[in-house]
Amino acid sequence: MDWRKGMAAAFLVALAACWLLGMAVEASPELTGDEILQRLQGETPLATQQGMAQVRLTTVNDRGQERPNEMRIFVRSSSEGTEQLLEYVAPADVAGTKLYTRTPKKGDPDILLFLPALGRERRIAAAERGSTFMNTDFTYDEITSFAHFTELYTAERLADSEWDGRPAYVLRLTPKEAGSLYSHVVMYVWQEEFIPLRVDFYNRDGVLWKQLLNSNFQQNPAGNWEARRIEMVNVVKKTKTVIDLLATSRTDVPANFLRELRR
Amino acid sequence: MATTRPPHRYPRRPLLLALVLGCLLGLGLAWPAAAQDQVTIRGQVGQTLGFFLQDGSRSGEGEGDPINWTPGQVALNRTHYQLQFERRFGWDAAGLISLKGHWDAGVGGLQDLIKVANGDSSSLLELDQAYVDLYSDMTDFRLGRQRIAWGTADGFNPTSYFAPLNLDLTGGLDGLVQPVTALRASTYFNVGTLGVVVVPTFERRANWAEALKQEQPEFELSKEREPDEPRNQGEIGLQFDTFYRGTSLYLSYFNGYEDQPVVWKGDTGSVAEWRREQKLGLAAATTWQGFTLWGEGTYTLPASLDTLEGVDPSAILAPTEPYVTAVLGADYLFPSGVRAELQYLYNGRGSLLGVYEPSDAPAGQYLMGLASIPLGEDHSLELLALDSLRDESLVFVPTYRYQLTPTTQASLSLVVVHGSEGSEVGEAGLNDLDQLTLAVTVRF
Repeated sequence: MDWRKGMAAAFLVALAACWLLGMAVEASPELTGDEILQRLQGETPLATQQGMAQVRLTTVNDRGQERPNEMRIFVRSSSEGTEQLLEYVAPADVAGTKLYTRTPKKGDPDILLFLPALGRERRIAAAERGSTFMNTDFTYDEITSFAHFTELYTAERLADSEWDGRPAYVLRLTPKEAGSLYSHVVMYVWQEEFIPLRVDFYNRDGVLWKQLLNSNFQQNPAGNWEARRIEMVNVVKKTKTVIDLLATSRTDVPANFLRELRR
Repeated sequence: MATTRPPHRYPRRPLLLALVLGCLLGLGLAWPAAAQDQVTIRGQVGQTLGFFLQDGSRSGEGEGDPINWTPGQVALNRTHYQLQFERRFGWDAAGLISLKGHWDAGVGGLQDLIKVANGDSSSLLELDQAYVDLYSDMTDFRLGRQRIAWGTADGFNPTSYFAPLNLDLTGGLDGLVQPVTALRASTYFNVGTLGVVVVPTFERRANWAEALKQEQPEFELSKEREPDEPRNQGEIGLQFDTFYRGTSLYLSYFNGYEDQPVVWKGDTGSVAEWRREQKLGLAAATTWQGFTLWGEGTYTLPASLDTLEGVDPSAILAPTEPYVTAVLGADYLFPSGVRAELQYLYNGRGSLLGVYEPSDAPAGQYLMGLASIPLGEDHSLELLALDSLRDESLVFVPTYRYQLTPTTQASLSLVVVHGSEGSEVGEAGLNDLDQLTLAVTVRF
């Protein structure tokens, strides 16, 4: 299995984090774009959360052929940083492949990939930010940006709108760094829950490139809303990656992620 | 390269393995499965067809006509399969049984070389791995036949102590570590992990006698001169690993046996004896500027044998002094999706491609390159090269892979070996075995 496929998993970890959070936050009409973005990340921090999400990831190519994968994602944060472990559950030929990421508060993450055929972990470097993951519509940039939106973008609040029947703040995000893949990003944020509903990514020419769509919202046992389906549609390539949330738990988490990686 | 594949190793302790299997099945019956702890069944079945690309010949087994082959002649026609059952029992235990086998559908050139008839080289069903895992508060135990892969390098791991290296590169770098029957315990502390491996009976290189005969025919052993079995055949290995400032560090120690017996010329002919060795190992891996960097090395102290005293070092087919083995490597993923990897290998014992060399043989030094080039959504090209710095030997294996379906892959490989008769590949009998290989594998 190509290790880049493992990197795609890191994105799922970020998404799972969103699912595992889902905390309701009081809205305020006076909020600025940056404040909304901050709420998105700041008041629903991973840093105090832990949990497990089981997801099904399906890639759809331009001929409509689907490739499903099923995986479990574990997340735990502490004062030292965040640990994430992703384990492929299906199909059987990749089952047992695991990706462990330890992201300290400062510094680069440790990323270890365990391949059953190899029988041991392998340290890997963060992929090129612009590269796409094998058979997915996500880039590494998108993985990290979900965790560091406020670091990578400045937000301008546009006129409120709605998406999928829900009132939404609309933000125009402008990259702080010149090397970004995108000229800008437009994000629709559910006003009541501060959850992204839709994210439009525009390429450097200002053309709509990809769309991230959150849907099938359901309340978890704690009463928080979760997007149980996320789609990334590549408008240019006519490909799609669909992620369905199958199950979540806040307690079904291994005591030692590194230990679990090697089992 | 396929002739370097050791014959299939049969379990040396069938009763122990039967016990392991029994335990595993017993666990499966006794433990109620949670929803996420169902049995995972996976496997693969495939067909490999190889053709010689050049003329070649070998002398017979002492009598009879030499064996000749010509371009286009079938070298290998093999059906291979593997079936694996794995089950987790919550956070407390797990188990795995892996079976594999192959059937040589017709006598190919490679079978001719080892003088087997149709089907004789087949191994219809063989135990690959069978183990149970038990997890306590701080320690994970694994008991049974298992692969123990230590180290940070790709393919050639000096700190993977417990099984002989398999240098069949035609299958890629995965799976080069052979299984061994052992008890492994990993204890997790705040500062790192301590691993202990106990092997009750050491693994021998299955084809050491054939290798001796091929590589050093003047040292050939008669049946009655084969080495006595050591009384204590146990091995032990320790490894401590930790993270330090973004670097994975592994410190290890091994006390066990060499993969093949030491052979030397005595007064009355060749003599062989199993010899213990101790190894100290250090491995590390880190990342820098998008590169993954790794290094791994061992310092080996062979035990001194009284019987070797006074023997001319050139008449001993094994190192008599401590030696170093090391690997340094790096890989990088380019924005285009091309992954490139380069490794430097230093083998103080001598040639990597051979088994037996005189004790004063120069160290083997190699550059190994690997590139994975995506050609499209379903196509890729992989290039693997091993270049000896000791002489002109070069092994080059380009492989084109096509993903027919998510579970079915077809591949077309070339195995190109360059080197004269006196080179490393020549002495290993590989320099006239260029092949074209077609393979289809279905995984489930």
